[in-house]
Amino acid sequence: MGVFADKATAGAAGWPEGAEEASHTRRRRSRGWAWRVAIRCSTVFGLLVLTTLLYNVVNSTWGYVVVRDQLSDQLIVLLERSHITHAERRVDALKEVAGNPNAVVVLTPNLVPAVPDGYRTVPIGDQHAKLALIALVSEDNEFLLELDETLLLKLLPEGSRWSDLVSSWPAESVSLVLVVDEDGILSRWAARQDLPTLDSLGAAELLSVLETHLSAGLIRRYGRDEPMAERSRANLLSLVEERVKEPEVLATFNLRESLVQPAEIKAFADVEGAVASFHSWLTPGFLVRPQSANAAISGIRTALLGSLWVIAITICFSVPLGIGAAIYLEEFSTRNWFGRIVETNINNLAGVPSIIYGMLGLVIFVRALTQITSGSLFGTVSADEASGRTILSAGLTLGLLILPVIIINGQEAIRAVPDSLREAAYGVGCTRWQCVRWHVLPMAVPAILTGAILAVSRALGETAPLVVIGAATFISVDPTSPFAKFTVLPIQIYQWTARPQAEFRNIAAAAILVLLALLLVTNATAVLLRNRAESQRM
Amino acid sequence: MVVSHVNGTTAGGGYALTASHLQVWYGDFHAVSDVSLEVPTHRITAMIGPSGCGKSTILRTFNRMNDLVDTARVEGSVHYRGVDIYGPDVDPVEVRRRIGMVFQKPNPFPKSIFENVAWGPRIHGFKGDMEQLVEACLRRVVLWDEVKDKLNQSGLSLSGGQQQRLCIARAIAVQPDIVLMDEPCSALDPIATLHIEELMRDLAAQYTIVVVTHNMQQAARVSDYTAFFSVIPETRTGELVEVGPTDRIFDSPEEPRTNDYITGRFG
Ligand SMILES: Nc1ncnc2c1ncn2[C@@H]1O[C@H](COP(=O)(O)OP(=O)(O)O)[C@@H](O)[C@H]1O
Ligand SMILES: [Mg+2]
Repeated sequence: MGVFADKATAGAAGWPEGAEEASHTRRRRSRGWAWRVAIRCSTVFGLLVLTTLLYNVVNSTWGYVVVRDQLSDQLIVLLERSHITHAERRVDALKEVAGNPNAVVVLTPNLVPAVPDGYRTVPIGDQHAKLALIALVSEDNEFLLELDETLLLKLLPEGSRWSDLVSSWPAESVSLVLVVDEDGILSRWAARQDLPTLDSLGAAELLSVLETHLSAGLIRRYGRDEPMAERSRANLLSLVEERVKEPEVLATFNLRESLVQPAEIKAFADVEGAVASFHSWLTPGFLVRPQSANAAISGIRTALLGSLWVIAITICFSVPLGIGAAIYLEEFSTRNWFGRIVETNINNLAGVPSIIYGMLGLVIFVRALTQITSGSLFGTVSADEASGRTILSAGLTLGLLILPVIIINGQEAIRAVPDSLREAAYGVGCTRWQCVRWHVLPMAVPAILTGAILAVSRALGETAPLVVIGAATFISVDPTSPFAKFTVLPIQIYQWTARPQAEFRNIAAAAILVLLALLLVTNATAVLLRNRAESQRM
Repeated sequence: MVVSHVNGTTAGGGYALTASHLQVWYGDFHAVSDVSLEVPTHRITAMIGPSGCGKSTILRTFNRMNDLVDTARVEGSVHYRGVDIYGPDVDPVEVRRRIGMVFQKPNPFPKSIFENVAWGPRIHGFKGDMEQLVEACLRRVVLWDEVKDKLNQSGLSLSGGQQQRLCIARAIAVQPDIVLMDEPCSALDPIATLHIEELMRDLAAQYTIVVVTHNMQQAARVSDYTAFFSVIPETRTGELVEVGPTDRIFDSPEEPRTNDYITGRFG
């Protein structure tokens, strides 16, 4: 029964009345309710999917990692700083050791045969496969059998006493420590060191570390990428970390495991003789380190720079062109059959799979316009090594890809400007351009920007077309011009996820976070620009 | 009450606009056929008629506003100061500067009140004292006292009637000869309407005004001349039925259709 006894339509044919009206109202209400529930469900579902995605990424980005360095920072520095090639001093030193029961000589295994009488060897850091060290200690000092790498490193400051290391040891001063390098050449007295780390080494020293520890062939190969002498200190440092320190990741644990079972992880590390530490794969270092074959020290510097370069070129190319085309199509061209064909085409182009644009880019930019895209026309590289697979080609290809979207969005935005505004402007006698410049564009710019930035965001995440035009798989040198070889974040992520080692999935996750952050920054910039443009009009 | 402002049958200063044999098409649709009309200088000419009979269309041909409609096509001529504004050498930009327009719905620019008035003169290269010009225009439309303290506020912050006066100030700021008004009061309340009507009478001393209105009382109140348009029922094509001094049109129309319309038997 309806609530109201009297009805305006009482008696009129065709209107539901009484109970019929009430049930009709109820049905309308329940239909609305059903839709509301459906919409809410889909929103919740979307949020769930997003949360799962973020959870997955975050879960892989932080967590315990069990690492064993081939060579600790300190040892690398120690070896470097104490390196002397005078054969005579080796003899002197050994003589001196021979008369001093408190002396310790640190040798590499191939020198062990030269153990003087009354001395014995103590292996240090026996887990180190490559540069195992052996301390030579007097038989009179039983306690020195406990000497290990950590203690040895503590020994370095000159004038320290044995008791400084372990309180139960004698308070006699340590007379000397010798370090001998692999080639059997005596190193000089290990002078006091302030807890040395790799960071304390200068570029020249890092270079010498590399030369000491790497094969000449490998050095030559690196030199071909970029001459060793010209490399930056940061670059050399990362090479040392990768090649000399050689951290080996024994196991990685995700955030959930790390929070739930830290004790088990620590125990595992102890068993393996490695260090378990809570590791953030996303660090400032991750952003600035170049690519590497070793996940633990690999960074996304080259991919990030590549992405920024490519997107900058994409923006410079497609945004002005797209907005210009949108203005022309909406404000200047007359609507005739030609204009309609153009518009239909643009709409269709926006729906073409991105890989097709990759093929287009390959044909046009990489092949046909090699002279331009490789930079050989401008003399930046010689013609014979020119290849069009450059940042410029990538940027232009992505530009083509998002051009239709920008045009369509721009047209939409311009169309949304009410005609009354145009009439007002033309009414006082302005030209078409003045109308566009002073009234249509200021009104449409926020929406145009929103559309353009959405399109640019899409370009930032594009992989397929860049794979087609030939993104490089491994680049350790920063791109410095539009004519450089390139890789971009999504491609880097794709390559890392394809690796079998677990730790590459961790850095892929970290790189995804970086990409997400980049997208967020782009979108935030768009919102800021839009708000500014909106607040400027009244 | 019909107030007559006309002293004789001829207007003092001749004709500001002479339209002859105007025809307008929108695509294939013949919107207006064969309109010949003279607009007397410094008088208010009202265009009345049923909705859809082409009043706005004709008004917009007077300053080539129809150029902006892609499908619109105009035949015939409109002479202004001895020149056919549809002639080959005529730039519509120059036409619109001299023949300004006020629209049905107040449409100030989404800019400051000052900018609303100043923009027109500026794009036409006005180099004089802009503040003085803006003040003069705003005074002319009796808006100055209301807005002088908030010239930097948005034109859209004003009331509907104020906005329409601002639009009139904007139109006269570029020193036109003729101001075309397309139902300038239809979106306004009665008080605001009254203000605009007073303003129109006041402006008539300096400008030639052509006003479209669907309100016959308004036409009777403010205009000196009235043109009555009608529509041919079969084709929906508009045509000019009768034009003359307002008094005569309202007191003794020659055409029966005019009589039907003004006595409310039609449209
Ligand atoms: N831009 C346009 N495109 C197509 N037809 C139009 C356009 N503007 C007006 N018309 C048509 O022209 C006729 C006259 O319109 P209009 O001049 O606005 O009449 P009024 O102002 O007298 O009400 C109407 O039938 C209308 O539908
Ligand atoms: Mg109209």
